[in-house]
Amino acid sequence: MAAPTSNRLEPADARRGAATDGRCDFCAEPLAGRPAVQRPVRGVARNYCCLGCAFIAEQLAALALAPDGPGAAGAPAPAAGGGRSAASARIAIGGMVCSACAVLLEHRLRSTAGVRSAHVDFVAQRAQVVYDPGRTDRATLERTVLRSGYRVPAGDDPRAAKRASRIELLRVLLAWLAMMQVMMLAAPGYLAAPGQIAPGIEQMLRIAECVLSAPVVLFCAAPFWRAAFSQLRVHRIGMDVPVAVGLAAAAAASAWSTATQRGAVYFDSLTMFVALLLAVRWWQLRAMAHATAQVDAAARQTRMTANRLRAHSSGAAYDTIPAEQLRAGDRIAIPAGEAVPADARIVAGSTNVSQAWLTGESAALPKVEGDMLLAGSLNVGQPVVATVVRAGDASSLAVLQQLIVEAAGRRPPAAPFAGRVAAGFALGVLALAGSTLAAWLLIDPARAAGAAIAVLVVTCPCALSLAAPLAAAIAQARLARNGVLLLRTAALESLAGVDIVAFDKTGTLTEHCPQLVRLEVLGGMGADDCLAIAAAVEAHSQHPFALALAAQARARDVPRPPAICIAENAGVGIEGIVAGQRFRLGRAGYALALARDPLAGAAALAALRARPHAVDGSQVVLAGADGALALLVFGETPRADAPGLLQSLARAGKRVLVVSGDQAPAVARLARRLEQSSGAALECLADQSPEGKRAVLEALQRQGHRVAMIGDGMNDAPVLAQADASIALASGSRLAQVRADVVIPGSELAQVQRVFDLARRTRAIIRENLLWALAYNLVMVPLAALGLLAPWIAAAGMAASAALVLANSLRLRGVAAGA
Amino acid sequence: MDSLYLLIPLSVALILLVGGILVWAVLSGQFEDLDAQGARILDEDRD
Repeated sequence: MAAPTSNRLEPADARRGAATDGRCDFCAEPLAGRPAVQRPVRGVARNYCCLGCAFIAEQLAALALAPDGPGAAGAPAPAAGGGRSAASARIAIGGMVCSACAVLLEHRLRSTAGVRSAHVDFVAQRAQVVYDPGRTDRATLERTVLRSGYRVPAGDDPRAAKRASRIELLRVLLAWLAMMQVMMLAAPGYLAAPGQIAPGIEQMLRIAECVLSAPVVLFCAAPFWRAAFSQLRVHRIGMDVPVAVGLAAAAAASAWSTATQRGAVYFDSLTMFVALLLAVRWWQLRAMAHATAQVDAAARQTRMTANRLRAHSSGAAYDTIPAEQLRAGDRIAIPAGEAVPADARIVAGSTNVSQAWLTGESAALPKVEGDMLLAGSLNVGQPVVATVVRAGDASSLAVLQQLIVEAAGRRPPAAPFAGRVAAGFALGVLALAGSTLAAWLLIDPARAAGAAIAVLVVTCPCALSLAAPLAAAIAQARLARNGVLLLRTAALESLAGVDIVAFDKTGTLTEHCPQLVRLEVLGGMGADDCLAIAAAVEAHSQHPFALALAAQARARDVPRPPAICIAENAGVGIEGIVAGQRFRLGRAGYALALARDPLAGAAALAALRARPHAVDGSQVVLAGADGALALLVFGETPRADAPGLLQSLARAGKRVLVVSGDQAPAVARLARRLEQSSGAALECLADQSPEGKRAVLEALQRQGHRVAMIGDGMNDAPVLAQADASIALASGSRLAQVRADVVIPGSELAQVQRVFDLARRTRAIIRENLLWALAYNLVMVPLAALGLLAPWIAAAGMAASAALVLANSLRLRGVAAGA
Repeated sequence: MDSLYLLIPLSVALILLVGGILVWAVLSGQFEDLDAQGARILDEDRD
């Protein structure tokens, strides 16, 4: 059953108001009778031409950078450092070993005077801080980081990063070398009958084991010490605390036994434990680094550049500079097909731009001299020259990125199952060891310390701490084989637990670009000929419709004759000469003005205007000297694999939500189509700004729901950051801007199903692993507490349980191989 | 069995030496790029 707008999810946004005749209060676009978006900004009711403008104006107002009126938008932004404006800094952080480090650092940064918000990203090893430039500065923030015990690599120093990764590898290799040697030295003691080895040799073997274990405990295990320490400091006991307790107990007891020449030594268990954990950790770090490197590489390739026109040059000489170096007042040239590097006002030329990154609406908007272009918009028309109005941190693109950072900070913390088990486990082990000590003190004080230590060593949570990361690393490798990038491991577990799946509409459930949905022949020319002419005229345009025509012409194998004398008129249409005849494609009035017989043209125009407007898209007329030839309707088409995905999500009992920036009728129409083809019930929320979508998700999360968001990673980026788990479909240049937990390059919606399947299987495997680890402890702890456990049993048991966890996790490799 | 009093310390010293070589090898990047070295033999411009 369709519920076009659910009552529970009333959008927080203002509705589109009545038609007005003024201009947009943000971009000064004439509203020309279109319904405006009405929003109060700083107490004054304002009209905007679209949700995008309204949203950006609100965000800029929040930063005290908003233009006060339509005219003032042209004035340069107030200089940074002025009282209420905010600055943001991105600081690379070195030395974080777990997400608790990120929490700790975030807390420290937030409590620094002058800091408004801080978000530390453990995976990207970066902090994003928004602060008052008047009250603090970047140097102070960096000092805070250093005082908290982390490093600030100078720039993104590749040499420091390389050295850090070499040291990680060294930890693994040294631990394995030491483990094998210690094991060899320990073996005689296990194989020989009591008394067979001379006491002197026995002591020498112990000392040798001790010498070889020392670097493992002090150097190789350092990440565990650090992680446990920062987990204790933020009172968030994760798996590293029981690991560190077990390690410390085993190391201290063994060293003491060596020094006093009595009692058991556990050097073999100890080194094996460190070696196994480090190997898995290294594997996971490498998989993660590999995934982030792909996104970073895309980001480097598509780093936004600007063509700044030279001030004293009369010609079109320009320098290509990074977009961050632009200042308000610079004149820039924006070629066709490139992104607008900063908020700018057109001073020469006219064009069409796509603001899909902001509003999700893929339709191209005409822009003429004097109009505002928002940073990040794509110029799909012709080259223009513009004057920068707001650049860098004040531009609308930066504002959106700021929103992403804030949303990520508001995301409900993921509580991985293994982490929750760890806290209870750590306390349980300490309690057990304590009661063992107490009990033996009453029975036989001489054996008390030995038994308590044995409890601590045997519970050393090897299998327990391998359970989650091992399964996650294998799942990640499995996804990578399908080309899917997993950027936050914890997301896999969150994904398995969500009960609501929210989809963005444009570019996610539908094809990214509008498609030609209908071609009606109006004149005497055949449909294929009309298509050929239309495609020929649009052959070199970047307009979304042009791309749709080219795709359709290719699909139908229609030859495209060459077109000459092409002239594009922003907002109305395009004309060109094909095979000696002039044709126009565009709005009806513009296209029909070409008619040889003005009366016939006027009649055709009247007939077209009398027809009901196409409900499923925007229509364009192709006309020649003989009058109208064809009516072309462009609209959104759902992706072919969307119904299958929705169906299986519904079958898995998840609620499916469509949140879109588009208008309600368009969203409802698509939802009905998808409901018919999939049989799943969809709930729709239309007319949502990015902030509105985010608020919807936050409201759902407050009701206790866990929500996954699937989008194209552009206009919905803040929503992706707010969701418990997020999947972005992105490819090419858009890959660079994506901030999601899972990125699916290429835009195969069917992959989403695979990710969900794998997430479910991974969670199941993690739980099996944990169950096994706990069962193992249930058997071993009583033995240890009773003093029946020889060190060799502890070592063998640890190896066996680790092997079992590995074997169980490896089952993930075969999941959903082809399906 | 008395030879063990010499051989055990000797083996520990040997392992420490091997460990030292490992430290040098890793830190100087010997494990950095394992695939390209095999192809380098085909590059005639290099000795």
